Amino acid sequence: MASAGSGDEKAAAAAMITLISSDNEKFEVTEATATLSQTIRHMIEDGCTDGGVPLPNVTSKILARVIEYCKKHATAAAGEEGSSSSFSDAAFLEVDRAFLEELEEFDDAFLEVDRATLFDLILAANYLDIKGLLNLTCQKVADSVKGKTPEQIREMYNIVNDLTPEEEAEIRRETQWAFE
Amino acid sequence: MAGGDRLSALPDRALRRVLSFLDVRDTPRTSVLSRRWRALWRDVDAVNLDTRSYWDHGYDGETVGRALFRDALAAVGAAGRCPVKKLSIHVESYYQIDYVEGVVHASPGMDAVLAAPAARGLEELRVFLRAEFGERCYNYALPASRFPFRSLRVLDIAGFTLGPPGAAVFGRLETLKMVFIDSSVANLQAMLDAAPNLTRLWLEYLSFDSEELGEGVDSYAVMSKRRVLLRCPAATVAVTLLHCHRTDGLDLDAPGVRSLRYKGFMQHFPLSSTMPSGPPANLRHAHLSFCTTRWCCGDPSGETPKNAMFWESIGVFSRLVVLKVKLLGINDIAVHSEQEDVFLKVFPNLKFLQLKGSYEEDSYSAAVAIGNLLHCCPALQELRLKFKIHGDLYATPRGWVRHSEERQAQLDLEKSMESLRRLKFETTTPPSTGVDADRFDDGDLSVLKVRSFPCLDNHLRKTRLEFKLESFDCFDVKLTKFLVENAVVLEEMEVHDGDQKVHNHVHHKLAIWRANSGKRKIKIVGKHNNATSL
Repeated sequence: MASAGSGDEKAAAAAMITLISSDNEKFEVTEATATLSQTIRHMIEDGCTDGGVPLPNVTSKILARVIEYCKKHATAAAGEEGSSSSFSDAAFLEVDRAFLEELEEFDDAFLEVDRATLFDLILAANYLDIKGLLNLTCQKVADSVKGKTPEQIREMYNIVNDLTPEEEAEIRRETQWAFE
Repeated sequence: MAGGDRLSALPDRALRRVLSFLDVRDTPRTSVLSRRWRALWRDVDAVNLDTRSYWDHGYDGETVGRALFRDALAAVGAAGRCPVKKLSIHVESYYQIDYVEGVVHASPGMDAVLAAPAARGLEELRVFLRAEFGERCYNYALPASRFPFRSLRVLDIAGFTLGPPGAAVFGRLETLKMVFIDSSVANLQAMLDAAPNLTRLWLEYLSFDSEELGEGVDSYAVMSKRRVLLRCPAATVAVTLLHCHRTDGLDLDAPGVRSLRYKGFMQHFPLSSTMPSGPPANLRHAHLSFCTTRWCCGDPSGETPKNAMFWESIGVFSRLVVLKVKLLGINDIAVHSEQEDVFLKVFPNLKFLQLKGSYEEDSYSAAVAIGNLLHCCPALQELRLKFKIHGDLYATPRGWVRHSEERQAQLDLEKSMESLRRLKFETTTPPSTGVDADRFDDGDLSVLKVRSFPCLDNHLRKTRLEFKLESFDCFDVKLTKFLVENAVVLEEMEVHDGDQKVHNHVHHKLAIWRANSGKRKIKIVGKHNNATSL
């Protein structure tokens, strides 16, 4: 079906990578999508992606979400074919307001997840080394603790205080200004 | 099972990332959460100062400033902390500029934080000052020489007066963004000269002091008559220039620029071909939004007609790949056949074209302008058109006219009857003979129909049209029909024609036209009902 004139683009877009989740589900993604992950990028560079990339730390449920994120953002990074921005390079997209708004909307909707999923996404983003996704998910956690007292944060996230009263008093002395 | 502490179980790197988004007081407070958290905050390389977290310190700027910078110095100077790479300082007031001035004039303050040993390797610096109603804090001058210039990669500043860089060399600076910054032309030029590796430059709402003048002289009046020239480093590839109206033009001599986003007067197009290095030879992306004197202050000089100005401005960029243009009246840039040879220039590489504006004033000329662009873009693959019905920003849109309840009911009834009639007609008339319903006067579009366009014959694969449908024989619909019938290799057509009821949308007609012209390949998408394609 490749039409004349865009053969090169189709060939470039056709470089596919198979990702295998911990529960053995296979996901076919373009190289542009996969290489948003620095971890996978290095694997590709080392030529060890034949037969698929096993990701034993990531379940299929989370991997599907991660891929959804990467697909959208790969458009920005690589100008993947079929996107509205396929003719624009990264330097330009950085200042393209309409495109940034579209991404922002996507990100907001993407973050509508329960807390357990959010943590799974953080772990996956950290393991796969996807900078944008790690920032996005960590920012959401940060927003939830902004302006809260340590007691409130402990309660929110079931953090057990294992400091002795003496230790806690000592730490508070060290950073006294922050508690005023 | 739900009770586990999943937050503390995250790897250090993720927790440091979480902490990097917190402000200067919140970050150290996490040290008492548990043993796991005790030392983490000292390994966070970002420090964020934000007066909005100091609402409990009252309305006096100086008091807030003292607390803010005291905390900042304590955080930056804390024993055992890692070097600070990112610093953001956000001072904002819902009240007045005095508050902002009070904060930034606190001592020890901004200068002490910028000079702190832990900030010596600073890579990203953001300083944002703002009071309600967009007021800037001009009384606060921060010399560029005080920034940690050796290590900075990103400098993003807003709302104050930028002082001279002195002997500072910003050798690693890649991104410079200035919004609501006041500076003299000489300082700004010195700043650009001091950043030889600057790739991205963003200037928005800049205003200029005139350094030559003494006290009591109206600097604004003087500068508004001057056309200013700035030389950009050869490394600069992306320029954003928005609403810099305080001079009679701001020209950029930027030979390396590949992408430009510009919002301003057409008369002040910044990459003029009269620049010392000539127009940038490799401009690939241009996103242009032309304002009018009614909307933006300042009245540009010059009597050149708009169509000449437009084509003279962009015609030299023969390597354009993406062109987005927004203007009030599309007809403004029309070049009629007798002048085509003089003004029109071909963009052989242009693949993506977006045009936004109104055709109301002169729809024939709007069609001419669209024809000009199609003609000049023989390799066009994607076309986006967005029409606003009213070009006049102060005109009352027709939908706003209020009718009495009785009259409104009558109008609604007429509308429903009309829809019903049309629905009956559509369902009883087979598509192949449905031509009568679509036969309308093509007067406006005649100019498009009499010639052929290489892009429509060979390249245009995707198009998107946005408009508010007023009637089925309006300009927008005719143009849509023209594209369905004449874009030979079109694969996808996306149409958004407003939020009226299903059968008042143009999509069902598109399907008929498509059938009549034998182009089954075209996928029609757009918001016309719950389904997304026909």
